[in-house]
Amino acid sequence: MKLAINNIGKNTPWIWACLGSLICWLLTSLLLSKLDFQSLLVNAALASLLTIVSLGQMFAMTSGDGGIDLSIPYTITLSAFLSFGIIQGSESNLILGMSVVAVVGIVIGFLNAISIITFKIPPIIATMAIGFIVNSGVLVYSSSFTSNKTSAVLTTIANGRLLGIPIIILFAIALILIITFVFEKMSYGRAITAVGQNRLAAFFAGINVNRTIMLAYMISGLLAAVGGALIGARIDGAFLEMGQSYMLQSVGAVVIGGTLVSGGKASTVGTAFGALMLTLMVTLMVISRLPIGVQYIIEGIILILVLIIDKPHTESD
Amino acid sequence: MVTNDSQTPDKKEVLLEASEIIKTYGATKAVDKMSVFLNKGEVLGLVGANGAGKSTMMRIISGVTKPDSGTLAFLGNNLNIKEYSTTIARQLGIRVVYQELSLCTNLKVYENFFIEQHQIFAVGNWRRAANEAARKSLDKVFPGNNIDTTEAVSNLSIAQRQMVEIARAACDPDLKLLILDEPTSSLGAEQTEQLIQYVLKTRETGMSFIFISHRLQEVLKICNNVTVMNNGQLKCNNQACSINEAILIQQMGGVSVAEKSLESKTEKRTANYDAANLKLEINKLETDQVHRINAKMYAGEVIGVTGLEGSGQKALLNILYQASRKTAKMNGISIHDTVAYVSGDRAKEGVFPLWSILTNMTITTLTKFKKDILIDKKQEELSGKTWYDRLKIKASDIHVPLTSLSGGNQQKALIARAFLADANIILLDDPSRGVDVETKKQLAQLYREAAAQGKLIIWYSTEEEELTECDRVLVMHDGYLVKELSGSEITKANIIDASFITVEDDKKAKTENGEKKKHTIADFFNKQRTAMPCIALLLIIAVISFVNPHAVSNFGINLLIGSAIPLILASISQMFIIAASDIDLGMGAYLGFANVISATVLIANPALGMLILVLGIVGYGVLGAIIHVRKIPAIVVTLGSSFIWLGIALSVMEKPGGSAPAALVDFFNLDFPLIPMSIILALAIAVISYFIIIRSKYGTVLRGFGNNPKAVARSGWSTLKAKVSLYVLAGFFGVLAGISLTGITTAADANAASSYTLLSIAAVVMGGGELVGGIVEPFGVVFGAVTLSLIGALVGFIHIGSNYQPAVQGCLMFIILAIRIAIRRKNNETCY
Amino acid sequence: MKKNVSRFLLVVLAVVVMLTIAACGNSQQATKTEPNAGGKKPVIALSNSFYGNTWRHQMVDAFEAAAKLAKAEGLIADYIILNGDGTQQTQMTQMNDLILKHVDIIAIDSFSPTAMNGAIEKAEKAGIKVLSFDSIATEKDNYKLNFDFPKFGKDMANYAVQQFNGKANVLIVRGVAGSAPDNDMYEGTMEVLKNHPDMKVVGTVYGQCTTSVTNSQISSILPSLPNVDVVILQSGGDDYGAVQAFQTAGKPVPKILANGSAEFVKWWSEENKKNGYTTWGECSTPGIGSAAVWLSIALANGENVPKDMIMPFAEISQKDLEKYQSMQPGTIVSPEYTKDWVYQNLLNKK
Repeated sequence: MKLAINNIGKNTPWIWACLGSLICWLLTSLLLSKLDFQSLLVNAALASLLTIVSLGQMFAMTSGDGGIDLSIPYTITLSAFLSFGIIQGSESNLILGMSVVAVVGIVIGFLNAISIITFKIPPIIATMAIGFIVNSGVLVYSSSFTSNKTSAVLTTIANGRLLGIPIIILFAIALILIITFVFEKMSYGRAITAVGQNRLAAFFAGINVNRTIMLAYMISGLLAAVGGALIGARIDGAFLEMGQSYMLQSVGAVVIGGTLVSGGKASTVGTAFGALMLTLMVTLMVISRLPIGVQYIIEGIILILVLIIDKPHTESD
Repeated sequence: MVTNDSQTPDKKEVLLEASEIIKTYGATKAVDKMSVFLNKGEVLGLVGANGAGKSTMMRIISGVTKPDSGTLAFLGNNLNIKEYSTTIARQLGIRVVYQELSLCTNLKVYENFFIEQHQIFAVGNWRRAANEAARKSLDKVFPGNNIDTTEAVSNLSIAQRQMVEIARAACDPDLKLLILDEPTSSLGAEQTEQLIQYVLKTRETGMSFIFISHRLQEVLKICNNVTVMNNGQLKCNNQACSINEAILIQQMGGVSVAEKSLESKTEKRTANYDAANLKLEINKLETDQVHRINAKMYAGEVIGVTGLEGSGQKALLNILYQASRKTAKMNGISIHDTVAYVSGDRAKEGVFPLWSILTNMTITTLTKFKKDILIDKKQEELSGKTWYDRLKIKASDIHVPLTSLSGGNQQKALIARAFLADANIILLDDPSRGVDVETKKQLAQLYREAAAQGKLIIWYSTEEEELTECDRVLVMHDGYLVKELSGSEITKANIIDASFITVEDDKKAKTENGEKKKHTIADFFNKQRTAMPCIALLLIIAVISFVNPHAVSNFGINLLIGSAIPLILASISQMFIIAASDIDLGMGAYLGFANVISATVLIANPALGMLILVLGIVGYGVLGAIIHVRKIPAIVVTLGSSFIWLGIALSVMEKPGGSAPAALVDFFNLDFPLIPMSIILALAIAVISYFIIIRSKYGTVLRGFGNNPKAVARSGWSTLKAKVSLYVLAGFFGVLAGISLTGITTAADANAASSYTLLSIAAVVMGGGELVGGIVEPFGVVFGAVTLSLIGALVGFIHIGSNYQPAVQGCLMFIILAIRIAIRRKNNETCY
Repeated sequence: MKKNVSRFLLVVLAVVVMLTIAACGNSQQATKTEPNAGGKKPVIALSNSFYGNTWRHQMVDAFEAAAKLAKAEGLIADYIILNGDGTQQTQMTQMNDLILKHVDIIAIDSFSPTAMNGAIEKAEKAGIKVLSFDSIATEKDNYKLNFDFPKFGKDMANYAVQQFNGKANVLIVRGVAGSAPDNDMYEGTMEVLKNHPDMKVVGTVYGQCTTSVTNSQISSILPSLPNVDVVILQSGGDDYGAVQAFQTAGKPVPKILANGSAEFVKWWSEENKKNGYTTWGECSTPGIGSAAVWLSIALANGENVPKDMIMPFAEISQKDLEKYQSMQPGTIVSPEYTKDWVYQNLLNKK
């Protein structure tokens, strides 16, 4: 029996985050004394935005060797500004705008990768330094910024509903499917998990290690950029500091979801559930009406408990 | 067969008797009913072909490996083999010098002595004691050695490290039996002779040795008895005086001339030595590890590479593979086809531990040669299954994790990986290690078939008899290619004979290499990790004083450095975590917590305040314990704990306020006449933390733990205790940082310190620390922290538009780190 | 031991170099005392702890515009603006920097009420007058130009009470947890609501003064809330984040008290044209930056400046809507404060 439970955790690392989400939702429902599907849906929509960004973080962390992307919040803010500034509310600018946003995100990822691979700066510091530089970009661009309209398409994706379901959830699910596909069916998915597990073995197995790492950070930058444009569309404006809360949340979502911090194992679905759990946990805390200090303490304890229960199945020695 | 069973003279005391020892790994019997017998004051030589089970036997005697059955007796007392362990072995006076070295490379030579030799721990001036012990022991074993005992081990050559390792084991006063496993393989001629002299001298005093070596002359020179092992079994015991090298070689498995003629090749192999078939050409290849290699290899050949272990075979394969990965032609090597590599060191360079057999098998074919981006799972499973069946991999299913298999089966999967990839040149790095006989045959057949299909197989093996299947065998010695055997010349005996051929200038070259010291800039910065942050700091101060001369007044320095004190303390705190190869993402929140408590509770109720702060430190210890016991990455646990610290701080104080204890404020405003107070404070912090982590006894152990937990545990230290100690130290300095924040700002704010988390990590790295490997420099950390905080001031001094300030800050950080690491990494560049 | 010696030599070298420089610096200082004594025009400086949000951006712009004007009029010799990165560490070094530059006045928008107290004391010891504004510092000797945050909270609550005759479901959006303005405004609001038991607070969220956070926080609890009649908020940008949250949820937008963001004002006026939606609000205006310039100059000239001054809020009501139509996106309603205004409203209003 115990073995069976262990095996569940092993093959489906997202199970704990899923359970956690469920518990948070049930507790919320208990506090409100009704099963509130609408609340679940809205939280899922919010979690979807976090998921998009966190999936990028997941790539960075899966590449191993302390991989992490701390430039994500600045990329989010910059791309929100760019998407507004270029699109200017005109649909004809949508493609141009999104291309620029995507390119900028990829370039930021490229710079991160270069500092990590070529200059051998530890990822945690390299991405922070690059983040500072991007932040300057945000400040410079925002001071000459004049638009308050983005594309209706983006707004629809961020805020619209289809058959009562927020479109952003569908968007996130599509993204999850794509990335699951990358990890399950594409050689790149194999390469990055191999590199994350054992870089030397990956080298001897014929994988181009540096290119694999570089792609991971570029994907992270790209997803942060896309996420930024959508977050901007959701709040219908670009504001300084808007990405800040995504820095640690993205790390949290990835880790709770069962992705290994040491790299080499990614859980796409888990990341989504991790994001959902974080969002629901915050909602639960807000609804509980506990003092903010107590809210933080409980959040911290829950986070650590999840980590302790979900014993990572790393090196078996 | 010559068997001279040694008679035990009655006057001699029996030291060790191991009998009927059996140890199996999966299907292979590593040790099969092996017995070893040793008298006090004698040297026992243990020889045998590669993989005969010598090392396993020694691991059993030293308590590292538990035997399946058998008996062990030491000084006449029977030992319980179930409870026998390294600790008991140490107590009995048994020490081993392992082939894989177990030194903490971040520590100095004498510090490594100290970690291992607990008796030094009790001494008053332990540094001097350890240094003297190290000196004395090194001089005793290797007179005239040039090893600086105050040098960090990472700066020593492999030979020097080996000397240190031997001398370290030898300096134990309670030593009764010293096991030397292949001690001379990396030593030069002079050191080897010294070691022999040492062994000969010391055995007179009643100490015993077990000496494992491939160098038979040495064995015959120093051993009283020589035991030969073959296939895990006892082949024979000889008295050294009654045998010679030739007999030994024969006993080890070199076959007699009569047998030689009986062996016939199963098929006739003729590879086509056309230029068109040339797959690989090596021309005067010269590197650190291999010398003057020339070879041409053709399609359809199976070429064996062999020699005594560590003669450069593996290095040669590595070089070939690396050359194949670079588009440009490496000097001396030209490769004309696709290359796949099968690694022998499975754990380090072969296995992906989280994957199933199938995924491990197909990785190369999916990522390297197939240009398809998509994976055809059916195809993958099909081809995987073919090889799975073909190699008869023993597992319940192809989808079970590879690590759940026995070593031999793991190895089969890795071989399948290369063959699945369909590369035309396959490099085999001792793939049959730990594989049973039947599989070996099967694999050899596989190689032949592949060759018949036009592939080129380059096969390094430590097991000579396997190589009889080759078309040609290249025998190496000390990095030189000493003999090429082909066709019927390839016999085990011939290979073993050839392995002992030496090249004229080799020893000389080696000694020179070992002793050569390069005085490069990189070396300087490598040894003086504090130099770089120091220079960076001076540069920044120079720029600031150029822009604003007032800044370098006593008053100015006090101002600028004084405000950096909390960051300095926070960075020192972070340093202790990084010394454990962890990262703390909760540092800022923890500072906020200490800040708030010290500005509120501590004033209202000093006792309670102290209690809470102490509990905070205990909390850090608990975090350390959780991280260690559950093996959770520190980075996320501390992220979680940061919420808790922030929550506590907000619960205590809803909005910024509070006040600082008057004494604290006065302390920070103290004025010294000549030297600014803040400099004294900064230096005091550096000196204190320097004494804790660098100079103190346990601090040294802690750094060793951060570098090589296994070695520290092997020396009998508790790793849990070490981890908790580091976290408690971090907690303590974190509290100090929080209090200093109170003193400087004269109030508290739960959010004020959040930025310190990342800054403190940056300061440690800037200060010469490494995020892994237990390398930290307290002085460097202090310089780094001051530099970081001055960068903020610098940005203010030179008029840069507000918008560009973060970029300048980021760039400066980037540049300092990039230079620092670029200089450092020149030495040990990673291969990929 | 050799390596140790050389390491210590390095450290000693570093210290010696620093001390020599210090000594040189000392002599330099001796020859250069009292630089601004002889009736020279003053140099004023702004130390701004954080430059990462719209409000601060605008505040700095206002400061710079006013300072440029003052410089052109010959009232000051020069001005310096230093912006921090939102960390206490950086603002502290920048304060030190200003002290070392011997400016005459430092106007500071502080990291927190307490975090800069130590640095301000040091400045005052060095003979520099300090004016803290917006996010003021509690240090006792500095001049403070404060927004009346408790009053802001009260005004908001009072308006809500009056609009709904004391009976409504209220959603409160707070600011940065643990910050002083948040606490003051919240207490002001609660003080009023306490007296009206039928004003039911159905939810409280922390928007962290960040539009995206406000938006997601409101969105996440909205489905679980009963009908919300009125939303009380604290900072510019949050008002529009709230609008979006209600719209996304497909709920009618309740009365959201304005906080002065351009986006909200625009939405309000459009909505008003469509269906007569109306509301009211106040905002802490970034124009305080220009006021700070004129006050600094007054301080430098030794005029009689009260220690504690109150900066009024900018009111936003239906009738003002038209004049805010041309606002740049991402900005906040911000009237300009002239020198005359400062003298009339701040200096002579004891």
